Amino acid sequence: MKISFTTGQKKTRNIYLPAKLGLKFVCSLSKIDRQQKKEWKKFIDDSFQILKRYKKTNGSWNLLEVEEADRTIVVKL
Amino acid sequence: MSSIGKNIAKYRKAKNITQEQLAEICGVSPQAVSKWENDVSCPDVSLFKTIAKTFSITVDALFEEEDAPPTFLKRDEKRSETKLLKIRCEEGKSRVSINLPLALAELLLQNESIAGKIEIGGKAFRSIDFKKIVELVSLGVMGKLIEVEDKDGEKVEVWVE
Repeated sequence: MKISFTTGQKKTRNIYLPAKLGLKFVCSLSKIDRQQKKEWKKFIDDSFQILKRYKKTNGSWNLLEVEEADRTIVVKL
Repeated sequence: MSSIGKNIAKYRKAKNITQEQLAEICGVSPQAVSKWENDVSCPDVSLFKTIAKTFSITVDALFEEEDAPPTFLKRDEKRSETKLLKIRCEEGKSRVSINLPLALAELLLQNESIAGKIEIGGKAFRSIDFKKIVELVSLGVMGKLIEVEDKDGEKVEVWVE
């Protein structure tokens, strides 16, 4: 998983993470309470399998693109 | 062994298509279709694909034996893994695009407690019934499915590729 952050000055920083770790990172940004951790773990495992199969069949794609006035974030798998 | 003509007649009737309609689709005269079905003549090889597609069957099924079960095209079970559900939310200068494999969207919808934690978009986004959208897609609907714009200027588009 490649996460690109681009600032207003057009500077881009890329972070490369294994897809599963990237998913955990994205999910960690959401509001997860501890009781739901198990549920999240299963969800991440299942999501990872789906994303892996999709990429194998269709190749890379942008999972998420956020564009704001002064920054963009692109999550590519 | 069943002839191609008999199979054409069988599938045409099963699909409630008249000889005239099939003739129009194939770009031939209704008499030509009648001749095919009565084994007086045979459709041109180049038409096999069109005929099979019209009946939602494989070309092989046009040649099948009389007692064999009809071979209808089945829905591709892996289709949800090859489709992409694209969601674009726009509000002012902010734009969020999410491109989810359909299978992942289905998984999210099955886990409501998780889906509820993901905060994307505002009223316009929340007004969309994604379960209905996934249902439509599973029936084979493709392309742009919905466009919602609320009075606050939030715009949400959903389409499937």
